[in-house]
This record gives sequence, structure tokens and C-alpha cells, in this order.
Amino acid sequence: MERPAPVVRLFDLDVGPKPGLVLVEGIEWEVRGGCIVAVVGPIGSGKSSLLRTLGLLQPPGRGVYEFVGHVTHLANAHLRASLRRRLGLALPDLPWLGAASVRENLALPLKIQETAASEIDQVVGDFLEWLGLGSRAETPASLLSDGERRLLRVARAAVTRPDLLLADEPLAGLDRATTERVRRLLHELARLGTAVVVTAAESAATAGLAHETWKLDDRRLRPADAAALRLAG
Amino acid sequence: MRRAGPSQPLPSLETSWRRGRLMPEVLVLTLLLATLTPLLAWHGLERSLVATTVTMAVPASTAATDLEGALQALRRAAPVAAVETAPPAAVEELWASLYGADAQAPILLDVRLWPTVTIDAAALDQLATTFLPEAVVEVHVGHLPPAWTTWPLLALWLAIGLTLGVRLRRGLRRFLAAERDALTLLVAFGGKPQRIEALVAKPAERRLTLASAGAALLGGALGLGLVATAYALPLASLASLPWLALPLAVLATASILPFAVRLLARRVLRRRLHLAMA
Repeated sequence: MERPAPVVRLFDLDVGPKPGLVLVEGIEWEVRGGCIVAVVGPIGSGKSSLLRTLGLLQPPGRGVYEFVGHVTHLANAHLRASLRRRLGLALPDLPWLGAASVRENLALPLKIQETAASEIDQVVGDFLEWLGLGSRAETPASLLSDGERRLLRVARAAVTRPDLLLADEPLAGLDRATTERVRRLLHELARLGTAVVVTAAESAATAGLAHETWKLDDRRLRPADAAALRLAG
Repeated sequence: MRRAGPSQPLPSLETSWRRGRLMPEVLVLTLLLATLTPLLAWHGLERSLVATTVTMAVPASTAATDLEGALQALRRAAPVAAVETAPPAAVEELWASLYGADAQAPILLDVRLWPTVTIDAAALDQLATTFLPEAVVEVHVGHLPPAWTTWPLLALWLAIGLTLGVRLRRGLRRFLAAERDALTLLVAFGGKPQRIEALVAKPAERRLTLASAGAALLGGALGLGLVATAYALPLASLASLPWLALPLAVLATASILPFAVRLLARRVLRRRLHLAMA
């Protein structure tokens, strides 16, 4: 069977929370479509910085980030915007429209992409039912519980069916039923061809979810399981 | 890729602004302030005007032309606000009790003067007696103490002004936070640069214009209130300001406040927009 094309390719990349402060250096990495990749590491190891760099929310310190065949630091504002439309971001530092309803928040990425209204209604309606949030559709996002908000965060990132979905600790603090919903959602996306990168503090947290696991250790990104080792080799 | 559809309004900023619990309260407070400000101003002004009075007792036999000449001379010498004659019945009764029923009561004139920098009491006295040698002239210069009603009125005015200021500040912060969130999301989810400009910068400009108009009203009320307070208390140095100071104070406060609000908010938004789209 032919392997899917790489969605992400990193060449000798440094990342950190701000320019001049490097937490992870010399990353050589590749993520292919349809694959769920876990990046594990302790707090402060650079997981969130890596996701923010992959999400085009901050520039890399050094090296090259290639996303769907485009070298990101060479992209102009318009190309960067179009690349962002192919990303799904489930990061905690992305805000909610607190006064807007769950439905409006979920529809936001689709509206930004200028999707047809009828399609938005259908997709958002399906998502809400599937996530079990149908009864909360008109509730302001600011009134959701923490678990519901985490679920909605992943859903908002997935609603556009992106090429790359980035989720920062998507399973942390969720009950079993919600955890199962998020797992099913991410597996379904991967089955449709999306590359998924999730982070966790420990590899046990992503057991049964990730196809391969990488570990941030001593300022380096290293393979942490056999699948990752095979790819790295 | 999904099909492109007709451009749709985002639910973000307009709704969060409209849904804010800020507007009804601000409206009520503004109305209260607008009602209280002229009340306070009139209250202070009246006390101040009453305080500077020239009282002239003129014999009843004085010719009308002489009386008018004296008043015109007074008007030239000092800014006259109003001339009132005492109630004739009361004067006649008083005169009769003092000098007998046949005595002819004099004409009593209260000439109220606008507050001016200096009022030369001796000069006024001399002026009046030059034209009306038989007049008994009494000049009162100075302020009456504030009426007891001044204090609660002033306290209420200050409380409402402060509350309104705090609410407006909170509203502005909420507005900036909503703009920041919307901008972050628009950029993160791949909004086109020109669409971001249209969705965030232009509506923000419109709302800022509205906010500036609100701030101008508040500034006008505050300016008027400041002047009114000076007369109501009365603060001698402020109350003796020339009348030009009143519109100037109102105009300055009403102009500077919205300008400052607008400048600050625009700078913050433009900087964010520039950073986000860089």
C-alpha cells in the first residue's frame, strides 16, 4: 500500500516560546496524512511551543518548516492565511467568543473560510449531535463546563476537516465518556486523511490513540516507540 | 476543499457588544446625569447671582427717565443680570408702619449682577447716587453659603459621574478584549488579510465613533458639572472666572475625553492588527 504524502516536514528546526529562547533544537521530523502522532514530555519541555510553531502562530527560531509542500517562512501573508485554513488548532490559548453560543463558536472556522450557509448548518448540526452537545447548542460558550469546553475545542479544530490537526493535551481532565468521544473523533479524522499531532505529559495518556509516539527529552525530539523508531531510522 | 459560499457575518463582535449588560445601565445613568447637571448648575448659579446685589431705595417721586438713566449707567458699569422691584404691597405696608399711612413708599430695586472679576462697591454707590441723589443704595458683594440641598445634589452627581466613568472603562476593556479574541481567531483560522481588515478594523472604527460620541456627552456633562460645582459650593477663585470659562471648560473636556479614548483604542487595535497580520 502506498504511504500518504507528508503533511509536515521539519529540517533542523529550533522551537521555543519566544525568539532567542530555544527549548527544542535540531528537529528532523515528518508527519504523514492519516497518522496520529503523540509528542510527550514534561511541563516546559517545549510541547506547546512546537504546536504553536506547527500551527503558524509563531515563527521557528531556525531551520525549515514545510507544510503541505510549502516552506512556511517564505510564504507571504495571503499564502500563510490559505495554509492556516488547512490547519485545525485545538490549543488552550485560542480564545472563545464567550457571548456567542456553542453553535456559533463551532461554525466560526467555517464562516471564516466562507463556507456556504446551508453546509455550515448541516456540518455543525451533525457535529453537535455526534458530540452529544445538541441540547447545549444555543448555550453561551462561557457557560460550558471545563470538560465540555475541551471537547468543543477539539470539535472546533476538526470541523473544517483540516490537513493537520494540532491538539494540546486533548484528553487531560476528561471523564471516560468524553475521552472516548474525543478518541473516536480523532480516529475518524485520521481515517479521512488528516494528520493529527497531540501532546501529553506521559505516553500512557495517549495509549490506544496514537499510531506513533515521540518524546521531548534533553532539548531533542526522539522516537519513543517502535513505530516512531522505524520512521526515524 | 469546501465550497466557497456567500460571505456571512461573524457572530463575534456585534453580538458580544449588543448582548453586553452594559447598555441599559449606561443609558439610565447618562439620563440621570444629564438631568442632574443643569439642576446643579442652576442651583449654583442662582445662589451666586443672588449673592451679588445692588439694592436701591428710590423716592416714589423720582422720574421714570432718571430711574432708567441710572439703570443704564449701572448696566454700563457692571454686567447686570436682572432688575427686580420689590412687591409694592409689602413695601407700602412696611413704609406705612414706619412713617404713617400717608407717607409715600419709595421704589425698591434689586439689581442682580452677573459674577465678575471685581465689583467696585464704592464706585457703584457713587454712580447710582450721581443719577439719583436721593437714592439709598446698598451693595452686597460676596457669596451666600451653599444651600443644604447643594450637598446631596452634588454627592449624587459625583456618584453617578463616577459610576458612569467606571462602567464606560469596563465597557472599553470588554470591547478591546472582544476585538483581541476575534482577531486571534480570525488569524488562527486563516482569515484572509483583507477580510480581517473588513471584519475587525472597520466595525471597530464604527464602534469607536459611537464610543467617542458617548465620551463627548459625558465630557460635556463633566465640564458643565465642574463649572456648576464651582458656583454651587462656591469656590471663590473659580466662581469669579469670566463667563467665557464656562463654554471653554465644557468644550475642552468634551473634546479631550473622546479624543483620548479614540486615540488609545485605535493605537491598541492597529498594533494588534499589524502584529497579527505580519
